[in-house]
Amino acid sequence: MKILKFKLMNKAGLHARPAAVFVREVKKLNNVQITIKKDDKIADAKNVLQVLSLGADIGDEIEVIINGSSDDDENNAAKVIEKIIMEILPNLDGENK
Amino acid sequence: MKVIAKGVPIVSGLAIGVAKVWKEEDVFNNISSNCRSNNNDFEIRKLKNALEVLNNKVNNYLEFIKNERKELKEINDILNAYLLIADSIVEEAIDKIKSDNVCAELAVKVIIEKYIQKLRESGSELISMRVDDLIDIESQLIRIMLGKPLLYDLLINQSRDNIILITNDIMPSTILLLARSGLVGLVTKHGGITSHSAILARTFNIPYILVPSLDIESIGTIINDKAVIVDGYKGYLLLPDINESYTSLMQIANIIKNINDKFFNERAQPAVTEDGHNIKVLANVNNIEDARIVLDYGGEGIGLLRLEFMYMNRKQPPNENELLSTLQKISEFVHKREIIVRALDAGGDKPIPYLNISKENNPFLGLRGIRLLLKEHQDILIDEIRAVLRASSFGEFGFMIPMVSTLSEIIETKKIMNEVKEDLERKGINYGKVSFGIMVEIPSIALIIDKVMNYVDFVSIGTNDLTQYILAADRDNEKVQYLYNEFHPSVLRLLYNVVNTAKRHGVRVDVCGEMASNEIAIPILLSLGVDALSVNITSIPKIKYIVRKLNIGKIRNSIMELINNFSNEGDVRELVMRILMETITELTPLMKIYESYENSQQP
Repeated sequence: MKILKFKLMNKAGLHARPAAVFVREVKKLNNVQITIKKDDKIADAKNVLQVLSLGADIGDEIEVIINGSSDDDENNAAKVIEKIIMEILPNLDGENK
Repeated sequence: MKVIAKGVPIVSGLAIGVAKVWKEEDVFNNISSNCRSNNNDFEIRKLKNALEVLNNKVNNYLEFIKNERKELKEINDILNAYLLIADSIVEEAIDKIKSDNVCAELAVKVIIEKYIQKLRESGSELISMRVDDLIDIESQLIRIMLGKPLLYDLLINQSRDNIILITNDIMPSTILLLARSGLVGLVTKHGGITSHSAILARTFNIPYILVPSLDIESIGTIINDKAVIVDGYKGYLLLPDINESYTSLMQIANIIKNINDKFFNERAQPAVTEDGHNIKVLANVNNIEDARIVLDYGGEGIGLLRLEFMYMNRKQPPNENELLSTLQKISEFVHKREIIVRALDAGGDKPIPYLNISKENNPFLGLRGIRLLLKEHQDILIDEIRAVLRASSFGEFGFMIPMVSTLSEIIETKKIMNEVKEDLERKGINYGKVSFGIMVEIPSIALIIDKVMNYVDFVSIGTNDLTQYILAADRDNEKVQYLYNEFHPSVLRLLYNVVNTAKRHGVRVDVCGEMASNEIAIPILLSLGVDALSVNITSIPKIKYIVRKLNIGKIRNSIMELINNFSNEGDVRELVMRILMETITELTPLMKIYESYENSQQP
């Protein structure tokens, strides 16, 4: 199991479009189960409705918990998720305007 | 031209078209809560099939617009989010069919209701608005399963070109489909500036206004199938006179559009008058979503942050930490510029169930605003003060209290504020400097404003209530609306008293009522000496433009003299109209148009 912690820095947090982008990318990761935790709420990272229900917004801290069948799968998933949250989502902000 | 409805601009622009008043049929209520499944496999197949139909429709649509629209990426993103949501719903609905042996329609309904509830409780306005998407997907899946035509199929079949759709709610998918079959303007009762529907309307350049007081039944009988105009700058739905030709309407539309484009293009320029007075132009913000777009419209901060949205649609008030984190987010959105937070302004007219506000015969003269907080809900006031103080170690904040009628309310609030500070210090919790002010909206406090000066850093004039209370005329009561007049000399004289006294004491004066968003009021407010204007977000570019074109030194004396010595109660307004038309000539055609709207308003 791997646990990652992030502070969301993109303007719209994990709402609507960012959440959809996040889920679409995460769905490509096979052999791993990914859970997002914010405060006491938990969501399956591959279910966009659950991700939306977290209400995760700019400045919020989230935990991403990765459970995979192998270390390789987990490490790979961690790398992908970090890229989504730290690069892809903040880039969406720029596209909005 | 007649004003049929006044609302809030959501998408700027002007549209002329044929009114289609639409009352949607409710497909959800007909689904019985004991709709059982006789054959789970059959129900699951039905549901999967509906999802496939929906997927095909969306993909066909994307294919169709591929070569047609420049804004493809945005639409693509929205529709992909849409399909992902539909996927998740169907996935969970299938589990529901298997576990509870319910029919597919009911399974969809139950799952969607569960998430609507969750989204509403997420504490985020933006997420709450995604409820629209859920209802949209629900209605489509269920309609497909019941073999009913989809809403937009119906609309497309009956309509022609240049439709102006007037309806309670508009679903994102409806806009998408109608946008390429003649939808040119939109009026809805529910919605918001950042709903998916609003984003799409903006993408397609469809002027859109939100009219919360819209009565779909009665408006239908007046305007259905008639030519109407949606003014997405001013927020008006207009009915032209019968003798007005389409060409003359088009001319009007162009005038309004051109000048508003000019305002918007210059929105980033500071609001400094020709003779060097620097006026702060701030935004009135009703929720987190408004805050996101303040800077995009050239706003320099938030002059009125209404907290009511934090208290709606829930079972108990938000606690200190929730308030704090929301304030921090809003501060991020405006790049830590100034935010003036107004304490909760609830009362008999704006009920919040868990506050147990008793029914009053006359809520406007009842237990509202700071009265309610001090008498019955000090806990809420304390949490708000704590949150604002703590947020100030992070951004720039002011705090003000509404509905102040006596000095003792100010003294009592400040005492609580000091106790909160002591407590924070004792506990070693960080906090910053918060400026303190009051709303001036009750004549009593405006008349003794000199005695208020020792206690406040600023005052913010709420012209809507102040005008109502001075003239004793409810602005929502059609029968006495003609008396409600912000330009009445009685109102202007009281404003003068407040601003003049505050200036003498070096206390800052803001105006946050609707008057500050009205171009005609700007020369008066600046002549009086107001320091900051807090306005509707979409009016910011216009107000900044007008401020830049005025020379206060040149106009002040004539305006002040007329306030002191008028012959007719309408003199000041008339003078200001003339000043504006003479000094900002490009504004003249626009002002003439709006003047004619206003004049023909009373039937």
